[in-house]
Amino acid sequence: MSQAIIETNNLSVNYGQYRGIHELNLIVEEGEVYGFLGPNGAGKTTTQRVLLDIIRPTTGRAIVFGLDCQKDGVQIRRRIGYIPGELKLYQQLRADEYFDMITRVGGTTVDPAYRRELCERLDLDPRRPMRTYSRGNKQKVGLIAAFMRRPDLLILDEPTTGLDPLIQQHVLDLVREARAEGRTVFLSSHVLPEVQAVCDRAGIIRAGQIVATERVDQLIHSRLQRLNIRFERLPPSGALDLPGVTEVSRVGDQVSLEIRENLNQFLAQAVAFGVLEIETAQVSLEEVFMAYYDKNGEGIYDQPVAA
Amino acid sequence: MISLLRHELRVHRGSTIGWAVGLGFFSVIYILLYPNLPAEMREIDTRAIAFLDSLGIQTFATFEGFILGTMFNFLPLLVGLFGVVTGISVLAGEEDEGTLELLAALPISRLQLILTKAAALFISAAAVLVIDGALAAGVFMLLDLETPVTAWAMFRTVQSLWLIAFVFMTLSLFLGAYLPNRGVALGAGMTALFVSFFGDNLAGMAPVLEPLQPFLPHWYFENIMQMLIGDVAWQEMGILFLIGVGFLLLAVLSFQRRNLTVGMWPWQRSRMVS
Repeated sequence: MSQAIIETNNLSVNYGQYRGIHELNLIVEEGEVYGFLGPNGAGKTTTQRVLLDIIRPTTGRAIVFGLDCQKDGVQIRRRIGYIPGELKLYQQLRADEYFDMITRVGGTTVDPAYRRELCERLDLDPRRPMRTYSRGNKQKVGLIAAFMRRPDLLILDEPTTGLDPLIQQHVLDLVREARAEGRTVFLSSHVLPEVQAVCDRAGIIRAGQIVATERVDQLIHSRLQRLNIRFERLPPSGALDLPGVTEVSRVGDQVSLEIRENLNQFLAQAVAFGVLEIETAQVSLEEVFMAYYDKNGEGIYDQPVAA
Repeated sequence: MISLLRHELRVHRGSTIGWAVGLGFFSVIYILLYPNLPAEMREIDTRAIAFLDSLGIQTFATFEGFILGTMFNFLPLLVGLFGVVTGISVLAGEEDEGTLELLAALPISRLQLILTKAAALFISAAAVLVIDGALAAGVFMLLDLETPVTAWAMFRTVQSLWLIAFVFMTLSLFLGAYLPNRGVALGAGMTALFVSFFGDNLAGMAPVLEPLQPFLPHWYFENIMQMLIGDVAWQEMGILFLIGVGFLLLAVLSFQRRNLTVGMWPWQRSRMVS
């Protein structure tokens, strides 16, 4: 069984009267790419900052590499590569000077050839002052700084923000390579297709709490089913109403539905109308994610779905 | 630590050079002004001597009186301003700009981080004052004036201003670590500076304010700057040093407890520390 690289136990952070995260329980295992999903303000960045001891928890504990984030922060951060969501850089420095600084301050070694390779792959000229960089180039600086030490754990907050699609693919390749080398990646992103593309597991955070954590493929298949059913006798409107079952459309004798829960009960009711054909449609992670939120970003369910 | 210190000095190099040039220019202007003014100054001095005495300013008719009453009267304000502005910028400023998060995510302790930033500030203050003192002493030597003041005394009196920079830099580090953001910390630091400088000047004219003077750092510098023509005021220098050390300790304690990047008031923060 894999070792837990990140573990939080009832972790809460209160910002005065505002709540950052609330009794958050999370486990990220060694060698996996874990996607951390949620809208703005859900608590993703707060969680990542607690892991780096930038923010201290109100209650609960955060453990990384088996060490306490608050007591053993230096040891932990020595093995972490981090890119913040709102990356700000020293405008006065060139990118290569910045890379040199964090290498020396971190007391670690960086393979110069790998650093050059990263610059080439992400198409960055590191000899220019960072004040002259576009937003995308600044993001590349942050990514190279996070990856160049080949850290055991990468904490990436919206890593592809501001990058063109080609470079985004290179970044996802870097994430895959990190996993192939047995390293762990904790990635938060709004770009759900990219989470679907690289993550082994994903957790959905809503209002500071994890509401679902599963393998990405299971999350997609178990949390939201889309069915197209052709009936012998078209059920009257409301006949199939159940909690977690939403009728999307009716065309002829065919009804399209989205089912979040009560699948067995629904099928039992549907059979009574003579089911001629059932077709299941592919659901994306984005659709699963949206099933946890309404269009305003508020939670749909009153109670969290069991993780 | 050395790598981070070099980084801090490198990042704030422009500000250090700017302050060195500005303060050097200020000092040189006053020293160059003196040979052109003595006749007029004597006349003013005769009429205003009682008023100047009440301010603790020596007669303007002599070089030492003129320099103590002008250049060394305002330099403590300007050096205090340098201390507040740079002290706020390295902690609260970097937190507001987002670059502090980059440093906090590196494998260094918060104690190392704040002490290195403080050391970089103190070195930059020393560099600014060495340049200022060298310019002032150099121009003074070129003028070849008849005065008991020596070039060395001019240089070392400028260097004694480091203690004013030290006090206001450490105070600003503390305010930056304690208060929620740069704007609030800068406002508090500037208020403290103006209260210290103008409070000391006002207390010289209003005896009722005299009991407040021991709480004002600029009051101690009045005696320290007399080293231009007299002995070194070790006791006052020691007191200013201890005040600065006290603020530094408060800054370290506050920074250890601070939740970086979230900008909270202390009473909100106290609920966050487990």
